[in-house]
Amino acid sequence: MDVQIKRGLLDVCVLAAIKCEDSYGYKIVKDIRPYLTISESTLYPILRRLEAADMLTVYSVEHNGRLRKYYRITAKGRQRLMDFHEEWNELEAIYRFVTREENNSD
Amino acid sequence: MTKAEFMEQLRKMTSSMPQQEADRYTEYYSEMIDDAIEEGMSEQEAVASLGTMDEIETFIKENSTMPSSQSFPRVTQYVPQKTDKKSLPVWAIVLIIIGFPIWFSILCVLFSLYITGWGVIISLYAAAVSIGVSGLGVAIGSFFSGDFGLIMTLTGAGLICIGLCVLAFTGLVQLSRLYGRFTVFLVKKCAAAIKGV
Repeated sequence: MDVQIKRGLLDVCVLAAIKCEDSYGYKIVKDIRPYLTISESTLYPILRRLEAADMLTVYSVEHNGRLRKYYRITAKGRQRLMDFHEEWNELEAIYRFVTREENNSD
Repeated sequence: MTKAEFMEQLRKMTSSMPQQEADRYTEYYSEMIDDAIEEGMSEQEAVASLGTMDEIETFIKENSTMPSSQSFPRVTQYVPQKTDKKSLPVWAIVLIIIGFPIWFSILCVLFSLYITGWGVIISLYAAAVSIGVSGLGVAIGSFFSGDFGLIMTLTGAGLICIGLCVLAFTGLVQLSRLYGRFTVFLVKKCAAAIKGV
């Protein structure tokens, strides 16, 4: 997929991965993989970015004698997902525009 | 590569960063490796699944060199324009300097008008006092004439003068109070205007 499009979609996918329940890095990567190629290294800046944008919060939980960071979606993060839902209509219109038949106007 | 070796290399890679940033990277990758091992991978596999050391270095460099506007593309930060009241535009300062002879003389006139107000009040007091004193003087002086009719007339006139004086005084006290309030009001307005500039 086009890098620019993927970039925008990854943010939304990460938010979608934590929207039902709080999740941790490894699980987020695993949950997104069926839809988009994502690596641990590409997830890191996205998490940082979303945290800086107040779309998610981070907290640590002890797990098997070590700390694991969990990510929780915020109201602003949920709003971003709602916005995506609305953007989708626009995207569909663009899709129809891009894929329309060439001799339609004749 | 073992986890320990990987972490060692990662620490070297992030050594130039602020401590907090570097710690976040090592914690992040350490957690990823531990979770992968927990899912059933061997330690070697878990480390290998993160990609080569070169790839990771490229990612980290990209993250740290990204300008903040690019690394946070979704955040539209609204920074309200600071309306700095303390700095006047240049033209206003120039006008103030050039117009000094005009606005300063106007200011002087207004100030002298204000002082004149107090002058009027003081002279009214003086008038009231002089009416009162002369009334008293006429009333007392008339006793020296020995003429009963004159004493009665002049004492009556003197008492009327004293009465007028007392009446004028109460009115004048009210007037000077009002002017005092007006002064306070003026001072406050001026202070506010100076602060505003």
